[in-house]
Amino acid sequence: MSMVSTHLRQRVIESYAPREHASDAASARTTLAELGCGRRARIVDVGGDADPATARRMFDLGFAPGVEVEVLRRAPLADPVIFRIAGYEIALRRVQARCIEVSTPA
Amino acid sequence: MNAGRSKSRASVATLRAIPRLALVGSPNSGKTTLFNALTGLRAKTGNYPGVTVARYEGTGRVADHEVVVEDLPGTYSLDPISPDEQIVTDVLDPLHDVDTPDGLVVTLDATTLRRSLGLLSHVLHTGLPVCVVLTFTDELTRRQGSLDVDALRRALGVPVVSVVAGRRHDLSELRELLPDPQSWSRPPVLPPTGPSEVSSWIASVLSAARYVMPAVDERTRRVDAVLLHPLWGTLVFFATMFAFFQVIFTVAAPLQDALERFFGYLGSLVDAYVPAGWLGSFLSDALLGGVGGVLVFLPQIALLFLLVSLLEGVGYMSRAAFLMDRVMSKAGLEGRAFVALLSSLACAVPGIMATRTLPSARDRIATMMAAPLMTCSARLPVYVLLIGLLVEPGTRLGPVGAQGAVMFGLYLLGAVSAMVAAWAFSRIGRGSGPLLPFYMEMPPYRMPSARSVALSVWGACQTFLRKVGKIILLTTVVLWLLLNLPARGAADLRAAGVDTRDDAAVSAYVIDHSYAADAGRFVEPVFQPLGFDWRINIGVLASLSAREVFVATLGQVAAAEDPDNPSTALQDMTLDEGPRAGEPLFTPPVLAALLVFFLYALQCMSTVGVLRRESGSWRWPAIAFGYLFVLAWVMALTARLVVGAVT
Amino acid sequence: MSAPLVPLHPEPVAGDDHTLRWVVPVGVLDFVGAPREVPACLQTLLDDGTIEALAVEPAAVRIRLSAPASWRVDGPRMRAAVQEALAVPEQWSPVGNGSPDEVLRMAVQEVIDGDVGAYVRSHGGDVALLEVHDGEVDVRLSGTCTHCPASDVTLTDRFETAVRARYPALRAVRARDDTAPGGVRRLLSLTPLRRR
Repeated sequence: MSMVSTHLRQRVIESYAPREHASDAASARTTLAELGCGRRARIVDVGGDADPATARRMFDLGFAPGVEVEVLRRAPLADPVIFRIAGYEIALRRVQARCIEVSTPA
Repeated sequence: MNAGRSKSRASVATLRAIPRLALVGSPNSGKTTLFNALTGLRAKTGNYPGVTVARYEGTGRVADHEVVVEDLPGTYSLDPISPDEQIVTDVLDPLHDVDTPDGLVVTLDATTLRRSLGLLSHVLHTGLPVCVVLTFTDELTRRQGSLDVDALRRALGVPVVSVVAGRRHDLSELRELLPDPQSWSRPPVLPPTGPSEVSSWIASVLSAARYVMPAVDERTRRVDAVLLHPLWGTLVFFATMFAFFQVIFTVAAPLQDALERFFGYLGSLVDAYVPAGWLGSFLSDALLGGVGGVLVFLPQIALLFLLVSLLEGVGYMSRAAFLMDRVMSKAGLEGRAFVALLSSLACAVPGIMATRTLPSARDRIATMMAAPLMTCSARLPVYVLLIGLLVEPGTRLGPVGAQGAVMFGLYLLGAVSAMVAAWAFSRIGRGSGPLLPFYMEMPPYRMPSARSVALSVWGACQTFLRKVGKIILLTTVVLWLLLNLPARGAADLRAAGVDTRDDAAVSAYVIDHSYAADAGRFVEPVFQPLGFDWRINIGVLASLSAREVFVATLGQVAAAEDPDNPSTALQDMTLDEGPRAGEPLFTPPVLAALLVFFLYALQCMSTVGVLRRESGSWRWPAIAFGYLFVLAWVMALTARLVVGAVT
Repeated sequence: MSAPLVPLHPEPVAGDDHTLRWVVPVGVLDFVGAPREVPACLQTLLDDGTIEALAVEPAAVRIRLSAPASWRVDGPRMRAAVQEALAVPEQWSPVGNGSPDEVLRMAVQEVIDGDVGAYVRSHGGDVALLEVHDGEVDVRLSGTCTHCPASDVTLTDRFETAVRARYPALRAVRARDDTAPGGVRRLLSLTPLRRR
């Protein structure tokens, strides 16, 4: 294990709490897997109870707390799902999408 | 670093005068295109010691200097979660055995800069000199994005060169930089590693560089609306795969026939000019046959890599994988493995080579272990011969012909077995560790460069000839020797009462008394339960060079007039020893056992050779050969017992 | 739980290894010049002599370390301190009155010293700040520049964009031609056309 990866492995991804409307009652919490096509949401937490290595990878792929994500389309058998994040498109299986908590404008 | 510890010590790179550069970047960031532009035909493929990860390395001429360039596997992070990614961090770690590069060239896709800067922040922490190559800036502009390259250079503190694929002028700026990594500017303070801090750093750098994120690519959106549509997308996918399969199966066939005819012609020349006998036969059958047996794969390999690199370069491969992912995930694989398994229906050799497109080593191994089970075209002549003996032509099973039904059953059984094998190996490969997360970038549709496609085809053919050709040639020669030694002079033949003018009788006699026959008798106890006698064993042994050889060898053993079509002679063969001597040899249970044996057994040294090449060691081919043999034996026995009980 | 951090990255200052400009978004700190008061995390570093000098610019915090401290070694510590200090902008206060015009004056000076000024000088011209008042800027163009037809659009546009990037509340830039002293050659938009 190299120095860099040892260092990176210690990262902990903190959840997102916007300063102004910290507990905005109008927004609803859900996971990416539950979101329908065409919906947009803001990422609140990455990882949840998933494997920390997976959470760190999701972060490196752009699924960072505070970032906006859009659901683009589902595969014919409903899995995987394509999302747009950080200006590009990426497909995740539902298992991974479930680890990403989002808040949606009600 | 200790001298001599590293495996690649012997390479040119160790002459310290030649700087060694490594290309780091995420998949689809134009890294390989840059590698091709820098090295061209001077690239070679190898393996990292002990892992199933291909290593691409080449020399590039830069002004008056030579540089060694290594194309590291694409990665999104230096926090590795798979063996492939581990390789990247190992190479970048000065304390590790692998040759550490003198400088790192990081390719950043300008259209995904927000994500890519995260990888750059990791790379900067290696402490090695870093230079950034911005790719796809033309696409950024086309999609109404923008970026101030000078400001980005100031904000990052490292050299930044914008390179648009195919523009020679851009490359010359990079070429001037490359020979002297020590002179590259370094950031005064390394970027942070904490997630929130890194997000803050990226936001700040992007705003300083006045980055405007590109708009959604309209072209990609419109094409995806069709290609990823639940109905149309699926139809297009199957049409594409059908066309794909047709090309490697049928377009390659005439080329392969032409090659075979050419080598047949060469063989006839040898027969005409070399005095008949042992030497002539060795030259035409063993040597020319062996070389022809190697070259015959080239049309398929070239076509496969042409199609795969086109589909990959355009961006369709990710879409196909996306559509097939749910199905393939049942076998523990991801969607991309579909293409490799499909290609294996033509031949396992290109199929196994196609596993290179899979990003995870575990998936690659699982697919490689499953690929030989897909019914390849070499099994067809064997199936046709044996089914012809097993089922009377014209027999019908309801509305369909029985022969066709058996053939279909064999294809289906092969495919199902392959999926089960893939599932098992992916399960074993995972061990008790957590499931790797699945994610797949959907790059915008892009035109692949003709140069990259050509180099990919060239590279695949070259590696196959160099690394696998030897193994195939050697196997062919050894098997020929086994089948034809000890040499029989005319005197021996006359003494044994063989008519030397009857070619069929002569070759039957030679084979029946060859070392192969001894081997066939020697292994008889193993195959006894399956009902194979020593003559079938010779055929099985000979088919190691290629499955279809089984047909011709059995023909020779049976002294058929036409060894390539020996059904009549085989039907008349009887057991020549043991308690049931005189009974027919090819009873339905034995035929069923043989069919099933050929379905499972890895009777193909070319596949073994290509497994060796693609997995980087003899371990996996040995495992494949072993497990498939045991599986074949057990399933053949089952088939014999079941068919025996039914008939 | 954490609030998002203020975007922050360092840029080197040419010819001075000990000084870095920590680029921060415009408006996080509402003054320019030397601060009278900074948050405790930075004050400690000033007190123990790690930081030799600290000044606020319109879009950056300029920090000079005193030897033996160096950015390569102390960089991460310094980043953490700056990041922490930026989270509490109310704990910063200026030495002077810290008026908006002061921020604008420094922003204009930065632009003149930076890329845009260098561009003018490379074409044999010169640009100088005359006056800043209520968000309006008067500059003087001199040399060959004034006769260049491109100066009208390109130069003033670039100049204005660069100033506005550092001071979004900019109302107008007036360029005076020194060949006709006092005469306003061109009046630029009185109300900002582009708002951030």
